[in-house]
Amino acid sequence: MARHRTRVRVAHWVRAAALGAAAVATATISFEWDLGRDLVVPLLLLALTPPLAYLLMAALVVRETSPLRCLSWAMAACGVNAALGLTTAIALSLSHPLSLEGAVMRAFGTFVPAPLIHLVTAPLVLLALPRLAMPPHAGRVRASSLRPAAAALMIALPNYDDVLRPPAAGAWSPSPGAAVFQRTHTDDVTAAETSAILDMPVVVGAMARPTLVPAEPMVHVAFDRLASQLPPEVFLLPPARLGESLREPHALVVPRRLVIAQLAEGRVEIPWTLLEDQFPDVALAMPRSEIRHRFPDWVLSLPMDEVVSQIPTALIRLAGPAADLSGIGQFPAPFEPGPPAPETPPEMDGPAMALAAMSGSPDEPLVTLARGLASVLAPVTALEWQARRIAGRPLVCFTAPALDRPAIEALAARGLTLLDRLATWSIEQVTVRTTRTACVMTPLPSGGVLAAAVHRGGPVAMLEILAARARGTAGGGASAVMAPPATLVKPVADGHSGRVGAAARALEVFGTLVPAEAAQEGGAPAVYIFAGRADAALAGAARVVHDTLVARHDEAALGRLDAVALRRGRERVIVRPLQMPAGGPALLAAAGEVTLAGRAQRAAARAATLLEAR
Amino acid sequence: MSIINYAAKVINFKLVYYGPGLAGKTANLQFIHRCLPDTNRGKMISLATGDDRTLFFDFLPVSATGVRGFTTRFQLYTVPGQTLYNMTRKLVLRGVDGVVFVADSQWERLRENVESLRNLDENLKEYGLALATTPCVLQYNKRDLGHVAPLDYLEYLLNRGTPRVPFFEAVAVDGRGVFETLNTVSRMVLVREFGQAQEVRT
Repeated sequence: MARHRTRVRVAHWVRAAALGAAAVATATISFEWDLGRDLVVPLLLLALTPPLAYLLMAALVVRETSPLRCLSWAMAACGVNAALGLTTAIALSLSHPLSLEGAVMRAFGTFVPAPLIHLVTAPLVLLALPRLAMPPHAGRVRASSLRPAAAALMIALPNYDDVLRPPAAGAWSPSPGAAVFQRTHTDDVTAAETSAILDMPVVVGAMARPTLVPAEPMVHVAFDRLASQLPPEVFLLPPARLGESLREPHALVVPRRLVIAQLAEGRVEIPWTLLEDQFPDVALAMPRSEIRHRFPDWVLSLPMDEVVSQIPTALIRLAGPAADLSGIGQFPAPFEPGPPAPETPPEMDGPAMALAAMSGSPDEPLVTLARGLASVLAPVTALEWQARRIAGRPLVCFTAPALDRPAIEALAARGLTLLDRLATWSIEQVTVRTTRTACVMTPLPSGGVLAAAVHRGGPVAMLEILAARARGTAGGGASAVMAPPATLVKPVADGHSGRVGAAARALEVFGTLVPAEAAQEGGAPAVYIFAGRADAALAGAARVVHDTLVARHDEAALGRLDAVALRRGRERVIVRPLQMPAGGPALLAAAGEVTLAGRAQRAAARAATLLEAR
Repeated sequence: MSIINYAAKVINFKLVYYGPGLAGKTANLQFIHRCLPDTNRGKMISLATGDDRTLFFDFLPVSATGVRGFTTRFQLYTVPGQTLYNMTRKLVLRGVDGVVFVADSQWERLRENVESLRNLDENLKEYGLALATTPCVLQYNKRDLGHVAPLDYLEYLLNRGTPRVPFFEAVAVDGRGVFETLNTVSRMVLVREFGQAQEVRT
């Protein structure tokens, strides 16, 4: 930290020295090149201009401080001006055949460009040194005069970190030597004090300054809890060290009346202008006026728990009459709650052909499993869950309220069959999208499936992420492992032109694709394959999707099936049923490593449209 | 405003659960739905907006005691809490008989509570109603969480009317305070509709 401060100080001095050197060099070169030698200005005017100009500048630039400070700043500028003149004289005497006396005469008067350059450069040099550019605030001046003992202690025991810490006494200090900011004890507040506090003038505004009342109660807020609201570009110090350098280390102090005025709003916001005095100058990366200019409406929101804990309860206790409920005793309680019932299993009146093997009510391990999954899916609100077992394997369904729950359960059961048949593929997730709903099915480590369904347009991506998180690490322990059926696949002859070529171009989000085709045979649909190579397994998997999900889809309850997405690591396989002009069943199967799932879905839809075109 | 069906001897009341987003309005209705017998409850309907968390509104019809030969039915609604759905909130408030304001007790949600309460007041005024004259109950939800404001301050913040309205602490997901709230606002509605000291038949 000390190294950081040293670097900052050295940088300021280097900057000032560079400015001075540039001025001297400019004057010397101008003299060398005879620039401005014709200018003639009375010497008296040249002598009087710097102090008058600097006094005026001090009054304009640093008007917030006392006249004495303005005068001292102007004198400092004159000193810098004189130093620049002497340096220029030395430079002239060294670079030209001039005596030092003659060089001084030229640097200060007879060569007019030199004093003009010095006149402009001197305040710039001072501005390059922040400690000198802006005189300390009046309150701080007073504070420093109250600290002789501390100064002696610092001499005896050097602690350079204290340089960053302004004196403890501030503008609100009641008297020197006393503890300046006392933590308020709520029990100490009397009724008279309460009324006095409430009667105090309240000042809240972007640039307003509070009317300072001696010894008024203060609220202390831990700086750590406000640090995140500070723009880093405003400060030179990191937040931890900034907290140490505050007037009251690690805390900001706010008059309680400012807080009370905002308590009824549920938040307390204090403008930066009311807090800036508690930050030392050296901690700021820019002048305070610039901060105000850049962040005119900057307010800090105080943590309400800290604030309210320091407010006497007498101030927030309501005096109004309590609610009168005597009349309602005439009526008995209209509702008698029973014990919270577990979710009742849905009726089996739908096309739930796959649910026949489901057992009765959920068992305890199943309920525990479902609750664990529910906690993971909690960010997606308003999902109702049901848990069943199919042939001893859990089937946990989370359904958005207005969806057809039995149909979703039937779909999940079909998804379980699909996952079984594609077990060798290590499918991590299956997402079925219809015109009304999207259902994400994820194999569970215990061999079952987690299905979560939301309305079309719902948070499907979030569901996929959360369900994958819930799935854990193990794959689906399928009971009947079967490989996708072998399928004869051949590359498409017009793979780069015609409908298939156009579809392949639409699917470029999947990467470089080799269009291939598996012809319709028997009851199996034709499959248009778009993958990195002519993949017979992909065609087989697409036909399994067709057999388990597409052919047995309940369109009346769930809407038309748009697409089925299979996820294996970074690879996604999208299968879409096609309405071909010839009328026979056909599928589009696109596979590749996809990072933008939504874009892949849209690309598959566009490709399907191109293939279906007559 | 209650709707009376003389032919069927049924009086319908409308109760609206109001409050900021994620305060627990839907959790209230879900718990009520789970705890009431099938004979006393209808189908709970939730309309999703497609947003991650916000519902258009929830609707749960429940029937309760009989009063003067009439069966009373309460239609419980929630509103979407997010600011941008104010038109929906206004719509749901039309014809309201009683309001449950579900406040989130967490410190960081206090501001939203205040804004939502003001929004409720403004929306009621659009229908010529006022919080002071509409049966209303405050529910301070999520009291089981660690980082919650004390009751004194919540009351100071949200219950400053004259007279103050009844309030309940609640943990809606566990059912704590849910039925106390519902029964109180329902009885306040009944008192307002039938007056005091009426003959009551359970």
